[in-house]
Amino acid sequence: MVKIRVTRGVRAGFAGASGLLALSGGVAACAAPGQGEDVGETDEALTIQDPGTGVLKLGWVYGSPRGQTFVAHNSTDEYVRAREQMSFELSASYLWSQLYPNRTMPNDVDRLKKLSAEVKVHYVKGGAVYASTQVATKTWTGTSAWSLLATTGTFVVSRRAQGMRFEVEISDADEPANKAVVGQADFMEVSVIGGTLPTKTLLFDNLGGAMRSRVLEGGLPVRGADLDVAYTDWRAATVVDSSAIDRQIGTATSYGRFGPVEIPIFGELQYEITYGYAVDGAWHAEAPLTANAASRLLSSRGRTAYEAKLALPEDAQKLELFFHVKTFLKVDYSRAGDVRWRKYQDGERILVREKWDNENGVVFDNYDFVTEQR
Amino acid sequence: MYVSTDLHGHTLYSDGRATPQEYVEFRRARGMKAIAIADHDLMAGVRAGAAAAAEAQMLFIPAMEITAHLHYGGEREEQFHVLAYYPHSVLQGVELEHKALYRRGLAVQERWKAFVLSWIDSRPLDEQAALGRDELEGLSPADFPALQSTILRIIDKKRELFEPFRDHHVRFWSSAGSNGDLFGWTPEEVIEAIRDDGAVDIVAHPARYRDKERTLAVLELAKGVEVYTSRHKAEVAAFYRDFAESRRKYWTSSSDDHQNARYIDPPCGTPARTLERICRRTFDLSALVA
Repeated sequence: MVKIRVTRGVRAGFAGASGLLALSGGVAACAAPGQGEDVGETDEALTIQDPGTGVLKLGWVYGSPRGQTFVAHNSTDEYVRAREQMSFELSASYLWSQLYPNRTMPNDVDRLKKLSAEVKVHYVKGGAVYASTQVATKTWTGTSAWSLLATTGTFVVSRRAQGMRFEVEISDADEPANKAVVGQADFMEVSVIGGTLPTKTLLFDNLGGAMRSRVLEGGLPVRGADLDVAYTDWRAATVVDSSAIDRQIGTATSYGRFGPVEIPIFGELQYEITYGYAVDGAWHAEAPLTANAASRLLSSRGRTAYEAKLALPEDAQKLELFFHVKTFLKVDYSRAGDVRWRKYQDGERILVREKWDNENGVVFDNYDFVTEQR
Repeated sequence: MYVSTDLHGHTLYSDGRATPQEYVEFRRARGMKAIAIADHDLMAGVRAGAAAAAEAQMLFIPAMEITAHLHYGGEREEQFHVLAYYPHSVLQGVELEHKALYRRGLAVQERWKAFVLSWIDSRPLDEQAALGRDELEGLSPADFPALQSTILRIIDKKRELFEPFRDHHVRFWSSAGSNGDLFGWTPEEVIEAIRDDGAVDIVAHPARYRDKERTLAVLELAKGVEVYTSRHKAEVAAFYRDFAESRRKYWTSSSDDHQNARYIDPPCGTPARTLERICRRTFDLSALVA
């Protein structure tokens, strides 16, 4: 369970930077005052007060230009939040392979500890970088060459950030002439939650069979502010139990190493998701959520979030929501080759399942949220 | 305690049709908790599969199905497949890419490219052009179409060459070809290499091999047995399960899916003990079994 409080009025600038230093325990490698916080911003705004801590570790993510990219491991959940205290963890094997791609890594821990890295963090807002900070590796853990990990000093995510980009410069104390830079384009951007307060994000997703609804910034939807509503493809699939839908649209003759084989042809499931909402009991007409295949809420390519933006009135006390998931089977024989049997007409789009997503699965029940003041 | 798994299936990096992402998504939607991609002789799809599995909060086990032979070069020559399962931790950094059998996989990709190009070069010029020979030559071994993709390319571009290629392709592995250094190993040699690489050896679909006596001898040596697979009838699976359990061997439950027939769900999970041995750690079973 994520517990994140939202409070008003942390003023940026020197006061914020002092808080940053306190949080980071005065680590020398931390960002200079002002860099880790909201550079050049003097406005008062709502801020996540307990955003947690996290470590950015290299992991392989589908869609990353070089396979490995930074993945956040947070004390809260899968999302990084504004003002979260973070550090980086880099394996010696990664540093070595970037600096010396054609040299076998030595099985020598002391030699590998001569490597170091500086990680620059570029904060993104509205699609553009507005501030940067940097941290350097400072400690090593692990006893074998393959388990050896370098950890950087900490930094605090900027209060206004909507995303972070990274670049890494690698050095070798034993061979100082050798340096390598892994640039911004080689890492995927990591989304930051909470940089747009008082606009919040109400996410409807699932963890296996368990349905979840979360205000990612913590607290409640804010009166007189926008509310981003998002609904994930995997939740839709779970609600309609897509694994039980017969997706076969025909058969085709294909060819494998043991000769011709008759293979089933499957159609693609497509979702249309609409939502209905009421503010203080006044219902609005059901409206579609917009499919977003590049949502900042889903880290990997190939996923889709269905999104909408609500404007909550200044006097809104209670928000009610439900969702309506229509599942269509898209019939397309064009990629199937030698089609032997067609169950449908080419190009058909058949409604195969229709479900309402109500709280606890109870019809006419709704997801209820009380609101909070700005 | 059993975990819903599919620890043996193929992608378009060998003789399957699915991308690693499609492979993982298919199993996620079926509620599986632990999966492996086990392509023939290489691990080219492992990184993409692991990334997709991580997104889906599934346990991903790096694996490969290694081709060995019984009676290599003799009249009774037949392939024998041993699955190699690596602990999840090899995905950290670039340890995976330094494994000996991973590097053998890179050599397999290079040889496959040379093998296919050599066959194309033996065809008349008009057929070479139809198959896009020059385009294929320009591809790196890693991007070169693997077996199933090559077959589909031939079907698409020159259907009548399918049978000649199908007859020819078996030479890639057999003693009739020139890759004995890669595939002429005995199962025992493969098992030793798997262990040297820090992985766990599991004999794939043991009922498939003609030399039953030798197969039993290899099973006695191996760490584990693939009990449930689409290639085993129920009574066969029961026999190998009894064999494994009576000898305290590890056993697995998988599909051997190539995406060329209707998917057969493994009828049983894999014992948590097997997964713990592969990953060299204990699990929060409630999360995996839920």
